[in-house]
Amino acid sequence: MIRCEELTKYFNGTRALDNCSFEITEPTLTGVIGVNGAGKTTLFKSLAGFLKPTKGQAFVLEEPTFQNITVAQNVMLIEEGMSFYSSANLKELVDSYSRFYQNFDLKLAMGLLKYFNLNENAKYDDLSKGMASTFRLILALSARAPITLLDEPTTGMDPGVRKDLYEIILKDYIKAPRIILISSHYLGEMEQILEDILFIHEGKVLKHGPLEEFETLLIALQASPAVIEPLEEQLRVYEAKDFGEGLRKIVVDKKEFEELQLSMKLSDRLTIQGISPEDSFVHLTRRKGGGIDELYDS
Amino acid sequence: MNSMIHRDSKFSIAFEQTKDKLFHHSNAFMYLFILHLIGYLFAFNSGISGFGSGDFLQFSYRSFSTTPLYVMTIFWMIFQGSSLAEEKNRQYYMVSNNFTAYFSDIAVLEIFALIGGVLTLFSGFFMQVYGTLFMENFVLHSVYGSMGVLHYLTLFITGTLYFLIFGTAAYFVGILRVRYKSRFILVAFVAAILLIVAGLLAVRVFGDSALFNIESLFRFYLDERSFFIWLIKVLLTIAGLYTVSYFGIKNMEVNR
Repeated sequence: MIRCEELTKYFNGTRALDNCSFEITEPTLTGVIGVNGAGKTTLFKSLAGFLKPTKGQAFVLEEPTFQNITVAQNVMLIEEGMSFYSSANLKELVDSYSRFYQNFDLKLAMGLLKYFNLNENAKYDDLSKGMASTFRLILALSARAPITLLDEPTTGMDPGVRKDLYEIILKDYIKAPRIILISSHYLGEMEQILEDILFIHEGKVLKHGPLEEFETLLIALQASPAVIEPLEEQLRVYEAKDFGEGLRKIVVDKKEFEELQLSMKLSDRLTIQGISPEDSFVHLTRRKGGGIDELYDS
Repeated sequence: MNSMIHRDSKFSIAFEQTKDKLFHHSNAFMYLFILHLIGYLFAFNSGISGFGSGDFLQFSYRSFSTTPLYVMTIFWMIFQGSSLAEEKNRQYYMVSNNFTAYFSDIAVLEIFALIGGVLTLFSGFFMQVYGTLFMENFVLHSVYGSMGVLHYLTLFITGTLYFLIFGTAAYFVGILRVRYKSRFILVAFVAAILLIVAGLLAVRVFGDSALFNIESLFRFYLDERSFFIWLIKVLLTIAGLYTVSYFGIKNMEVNR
């Protein structure tokens, strides 16, 4: 259903996507994770057919996406930058969308408007940031498009509404399974509903796979400095911290650690802890060098 | 997969878009109405007034012109052409591609031009009605007495096609602005400089025969005596504007 082959996109010489390749063939709820500027929005816009790849290709339903009307009919993209007719109220906008997306569930849309206390006679431009995000998400879910792309769908929402919306996304997905891609910075909040993760960093797809794989990507090792320091020399360390005298903690790649095949004696002196996907995401995307401490201490 | 896959034709999408745009642009008709009211104000007051007086008689006279109404309708078409071109972002999120967007924009512009043509066609009658309501003596020029159906039809066609030319030209410029953003002004500036330099050189080399100005551009259409030759000129102009607009929008990316 979705396939990217070495998808590369440049904007005025700046590389936004760099040889992105991945494929999603079955209905899944996939979280697209990456820091600001990682290329998430560019990827979504390429899949929706808005952007022409500089190199490589994006395919939806086995068709190249750029300006493809079949792709447009079957992909629903929402993002903060999208605009609506300023003279129309929410009800009229819902009606317009329902005419173009043939799977559109008008009853669901009106029910969700009511549930979130959105006045159907209000104008989109008059909504607060959080309410506007809610309205966009209502459109996206009600459209029931085979491929639904939600770019930062919870921007500006308070935590209560965000929790509600993730629950609604999950319920909607169970009722109408389809490919749903959600990009967000709040991985911790949405990991409970995700099946897969597509991890993008600096325009590259670093990892694509089930959430469980992500949960076991990094581990924290804790022991005395005498035990930890030799390991630091052999492993790529994502974070190192001292906890008073005699205790040091490092975050390392689980696979690399396992490849070391440490002796039982050494292993017994180490405390091994799991790292949550959100913390893994933070460690993997942290800038190398030039940290904030350096900036203030210089 | 529970969500059905749809593969409708480009034309059926474009047709839906045309209806949707007409609905969301219904305010445009209100703007036209307001502009026409302003136009009537000018139409009644812009004519050269004369004044005569004597011991027993004082009178003033003025001639009315429908030109302000045409000018207002042209302004309206330019505004609509620009706004259709510049509001591209909102429609692409609602099933669209460049072809359907272009096709529906052109269809909407044509409908707007037709409405403009109908309204200006009736402006003479409206002025006559207003004239007889507010003036003591209102005399219609003798030429109106000899106008037949074909004259009115010609008036309608010319008005509609001229409106369409202005609307499409504004649409074309709008598309270039949307596509090239800040670079558009730079390119327009450079193009203007190049045109001026080329014009100066042409006049220097070929003499006055190469002289070209806006007035001669208008005369190219307005001075044409044969209706059919005029029609060909205008239709070719519109076809040219359609073509360049299409190439302007073709392969355009949707990116804010």
